[in-house]
Amino acid sequence: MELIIEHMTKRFQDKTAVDDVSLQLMPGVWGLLGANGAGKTTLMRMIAGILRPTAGEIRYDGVEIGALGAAWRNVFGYLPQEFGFYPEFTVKNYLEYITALKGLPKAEGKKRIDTLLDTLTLGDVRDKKIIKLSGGMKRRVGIAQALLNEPEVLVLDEPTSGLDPGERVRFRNLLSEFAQDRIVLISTHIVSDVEYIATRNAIMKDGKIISSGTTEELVREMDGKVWTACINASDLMRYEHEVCVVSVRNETDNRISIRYLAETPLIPLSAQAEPRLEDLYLWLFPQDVHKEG
Amino acid sequence: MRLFGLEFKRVLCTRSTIAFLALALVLSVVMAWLPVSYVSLTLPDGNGGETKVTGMQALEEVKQRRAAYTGEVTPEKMQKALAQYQDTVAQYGNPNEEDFPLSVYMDDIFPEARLVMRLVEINADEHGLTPEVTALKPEDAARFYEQCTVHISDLMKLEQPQYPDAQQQANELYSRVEQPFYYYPGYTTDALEYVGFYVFLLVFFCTIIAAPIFSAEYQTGADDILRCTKNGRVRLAVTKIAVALTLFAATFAICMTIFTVISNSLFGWECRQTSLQVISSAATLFNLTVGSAQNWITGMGLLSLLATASFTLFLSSLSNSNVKALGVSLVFLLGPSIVFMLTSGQLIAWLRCILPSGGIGMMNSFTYTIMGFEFLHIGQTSFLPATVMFVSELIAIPLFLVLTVRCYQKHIAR
Repeated sequence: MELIIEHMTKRFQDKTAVDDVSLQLMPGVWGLLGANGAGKTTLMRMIAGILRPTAGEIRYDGVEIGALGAAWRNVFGYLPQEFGFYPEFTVKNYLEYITALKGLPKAEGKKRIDTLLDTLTLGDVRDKKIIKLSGGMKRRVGIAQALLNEPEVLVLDEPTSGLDPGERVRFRNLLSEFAQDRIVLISTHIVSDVEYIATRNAIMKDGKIISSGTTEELVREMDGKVWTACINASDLMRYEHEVCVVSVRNETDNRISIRYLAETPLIPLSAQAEPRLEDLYLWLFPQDVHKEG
Repeated sequence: MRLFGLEFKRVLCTRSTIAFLALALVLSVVMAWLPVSYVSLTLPDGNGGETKVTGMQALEEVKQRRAAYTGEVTPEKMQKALAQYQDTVAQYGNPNEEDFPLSVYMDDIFPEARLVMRLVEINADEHGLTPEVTALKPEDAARFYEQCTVHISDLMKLEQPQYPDAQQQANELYSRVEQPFYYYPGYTTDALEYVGFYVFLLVFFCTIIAAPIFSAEYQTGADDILRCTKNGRVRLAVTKIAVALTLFAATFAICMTIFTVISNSLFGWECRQTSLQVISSAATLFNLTVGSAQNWITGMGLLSLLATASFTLFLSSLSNSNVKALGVSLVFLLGPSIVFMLTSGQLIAWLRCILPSGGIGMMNSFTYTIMGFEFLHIGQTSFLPATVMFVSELIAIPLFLVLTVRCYQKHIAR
């Protein structure tokens, strides 16, 4: 089982959203990391077949997905970043509707709905109208619909936005279990969502894949670039302008422990730290640190 | 079939759909009652004064006073009506004068008036000028039906002077009109027009329901999920169309049945046998009774509904927003009526009839084409607007449905 993305390009008038992207996806969880506007959603929409590429093609087990048509959609599950529901449908009605659209037999669909409602802790709201659900619950209904047909290829665009920490952990565990012998592609800018479950990651910037590999391989790129140091609280603002500060922790005596990224130690008495995937992300997308700040 | 059922359930879950369907149902009663409420008569009260009766009471009074002329409209009845009318005029003067005694009018003019009006109408000269009632002779009444044929020929020369083909078609059509005519007092042209008005309202509601069927999903992004499913392309589009058309056809059938049953029960089922030539114009070209006219308007209404709905679904499949889909759909729905009111000419007349909603409207509907003398022309060849509407709508339904499926299938959202 493999999904090959070859030279995918998407241009919108004056902007190239996806620029000659090639990836070979094998079974397992794949993290697609990138800042907002990096082209992740555009790439996923092309994989989903709802956006025509300007150039390139996607093949599933050697066959172009457009040629596969309904057969491709039969093994495919998709959760868009933003999506609408039928507001006056209940959760159960909506999932039944999607079950029919996915061509599942009625009895099998019912069983699958019950399992997913249970797994995603939506059992209590099964007869509630979707319009009355919280954002996190709606997101979970979205995840449930994507999983209904037990797809061989599952594409999730920012699946954890709106989920609370507990829900995110449950979701990660669910995905890890689900990804056995399946291709799961998750786009996110929340690195911790994929750090521990992704078999491989691809990092997108300005429409291009700028790096890809296992979490360990990617993290290795940051060896010798992550530092910790203890500074006076009054110096924090100055250092925030000089280096890429990733985290700040208050210590005693008006001192602050900071973690920062730099080619060489820029603060006296800095110690090298163990790099994480998030460090690489922030190294590549330093503007996200400033946005947070 | 399961998808059809679930889609049906989904559409019926929508609050606006339920509201419009309920409104359509309520209006079936209201619209059937309104023409009855318009029937009014001023009667002598027995104390030298007058009293006004309306609605069912007036309708009963009409039936009672015109009972002598019920059934087949024979030349003898025509002669009798003319004689009675002329005798009364000779004795009391012009019935249109204000001081004409009301009791005499109601007893000796009103019962005959309908038939006498038809007699006057068909005795118009070649310039279309009608004679005074007093100028008519008993022989004119005796040869009423022969004169009808002569009148059609004269009338069409006036209405369609440049088009011999139209004149010939009109004469041929009229030669098929069944004679003698039949008359069962009570039913009014208002009531027949209300069949068309009600059809228009049903199409209006269905257009509002149909407009967001595809566009709402593009707008909310729900479509992104649906079209990634196995049956989310052609099959979903076909199911959505099938559900919409089934819902509209069922609504139409239920509402029109209620409307027709109430309307005919109020006016009297016997009125369905009345020839259109008696209550509208003796020169009405089509061989229709009130009943068959109701059936034709209803049948054409259903066809117009399906054609308009198909076109609206097509527009919906093209639009990324509900407002745009609804706005454009309403422009095309009301377009023929607006065009009719604002301008005229052959091109406009063709356009009006060819548009999917050409058969419905406030002033330009199929109802009026079966009561009028309008023809459409290409060169010297003439066509009946009713036929053009019928053929256009028959073509529009499959054409726009296929285009809808194609557009939905090819749609690239946002």
